[in-house]
Amino acid sequence: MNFGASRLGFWFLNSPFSLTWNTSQTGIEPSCGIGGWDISNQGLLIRYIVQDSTNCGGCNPNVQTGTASATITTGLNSYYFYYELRGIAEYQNANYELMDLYIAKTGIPIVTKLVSASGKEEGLGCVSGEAEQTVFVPPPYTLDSNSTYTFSLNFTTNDPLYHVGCYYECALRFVRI
Amino acid sequence: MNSLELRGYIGNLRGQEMKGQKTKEETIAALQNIDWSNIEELEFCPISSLQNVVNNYIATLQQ
Repeated sequence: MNFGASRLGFWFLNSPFSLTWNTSQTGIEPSCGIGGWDISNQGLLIRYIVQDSTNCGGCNPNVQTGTASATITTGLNSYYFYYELRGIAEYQNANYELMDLYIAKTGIPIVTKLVSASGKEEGLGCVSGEAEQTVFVPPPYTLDSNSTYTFSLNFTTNDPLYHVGCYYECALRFVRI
Repeated sequence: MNSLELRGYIGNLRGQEMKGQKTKEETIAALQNIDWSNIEELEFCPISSLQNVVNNYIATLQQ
């Protein structure tokens, strides 16, 4: 499967950080093949692969979920943090398949939702298409120097229906200010 | 309303709540007002699945 990695090259050039993600997932069936979290490009691209649902001829009858988190410490410099959620999504109903990206700064008890991605309200049954992104905080997000930040990703299908060839991925990029 | 139409209705509620167009309380009230006895169950969209979705969503909203 081609996830378009070549056009993403600019995202990951000379990154000042690599990310180590702690992940968990539920509902993935090992007998159904590839599914769940997949991490590449030093942790700057993290993807959740959804196994096809049984109602569309696939193998997985479950709600599929995942969580992932990663932490960075900025050191002497400040950074612009760019982010994007995208993928291939259900085109039956919106807001069943959902991926959310959050950020939290250590010492500050606020978790900020940056962006979400979901399927589209097209009523097309077992047809998939590009995921729709809803941006709550437009990038870039400024990361202060001498600070620690935690990035969190939540994914769920909410129900076990209408997943065909779907995946959701988060691309992250850091630029020193 | 059939079960597939209800699935769309629940998804739209989630979208409205997520974007701040509906409060958590309004969303919970709308979910609790679903008349399950009048839903026609369609193949591939079981009502039991939708009831799980609604119960989980209400629990999340009440956290």
